[in-house]
Amino acid sequence: MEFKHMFRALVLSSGVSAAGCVGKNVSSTTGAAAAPGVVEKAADSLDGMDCEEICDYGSEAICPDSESGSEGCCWLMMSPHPCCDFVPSVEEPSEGPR
Amino acid sequence: MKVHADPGGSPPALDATQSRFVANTWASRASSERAAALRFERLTNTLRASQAPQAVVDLAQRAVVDERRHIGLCDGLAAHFGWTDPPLPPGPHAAIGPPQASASERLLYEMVSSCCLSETLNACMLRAILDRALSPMIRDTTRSILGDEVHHARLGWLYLEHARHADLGEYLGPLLPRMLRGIGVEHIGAPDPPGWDGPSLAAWGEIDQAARLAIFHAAMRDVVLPGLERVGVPTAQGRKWLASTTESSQPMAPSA
Repeated sequence: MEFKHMFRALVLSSGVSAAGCVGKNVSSTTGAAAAPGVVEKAADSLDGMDCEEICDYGSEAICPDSESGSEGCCWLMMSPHPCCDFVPSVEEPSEGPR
Repeated sequence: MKVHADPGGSPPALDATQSRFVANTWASRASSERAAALRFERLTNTLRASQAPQAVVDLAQRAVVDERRHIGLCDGLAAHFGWTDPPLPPGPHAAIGPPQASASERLLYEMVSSCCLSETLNACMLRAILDRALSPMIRDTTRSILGDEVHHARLGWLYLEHARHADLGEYLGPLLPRMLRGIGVEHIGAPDPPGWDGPSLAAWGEIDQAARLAIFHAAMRDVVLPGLERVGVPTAQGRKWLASTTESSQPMAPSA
């Protein structure tokens, strides 16, 4: 039994106070970590998939959920999408335009 | 006599004994939710008075509302499965923490114990129920509660991070065994009652002793201890205590 997805959902997302995960539209999820230019790809793909295109790694890791047929939080999925294991590296935000 | 087939689901029908087990589970859960509502109500006031970050206060305030909603959901399920006694009173909800500690240290202790440990464990337990329950009624309620418990756990992790930035919390490390013992190990390690039919009950979301122990250890190993280490709380003593317990069917003996 493993709860590694829960670590991300509970601990790493502790600054997030968004409402539920089920059926959330990918584009509706925002958060500091999702700010443009902040997230940098750790790898281009996972098993040939462009995970950063398929999923949203902002405030929650949200990927297609085969059970519900829509997008959902990885930690709620019965069979997590392969991209749920993809961890994009996060860079500190730059100081912005000078 | 078979009772409580769940329309629309495919779990096996429950006999009266098995149905009583399910009713007891949800009645007990309602009692825990009553306690949690009272605890979060008090913590909200304490957090506000201690000038905790607004995001923390907001999450605590939300938790009060959530837990009150959960009471209704749990009481409803208990009644559905045949609970006819008055609702169980709230479980323990008084402030906790080392008596000699300062007010801010006691607040942090309670936030870590209640949220980072208990609520995180709750979320993992509920997640495990979702993995095994076939009853749509149980699954819907579990999913609904789980969606909230996640935020209650986050409340603790957020507050701990805030406290660590203020250089508080180093003292938590040696207290971890005490905290771990305090989050319900008696219940987690309790043997299954006579007449327990594991496979049937699993389809109704019930978790047997062996599974509870496995979930407890996995939740500590994968979430709680890494979460504490992430913010620099020493976990050696907590890890040692966990290693002294077993994931097997033996109840967890409280070590010194």
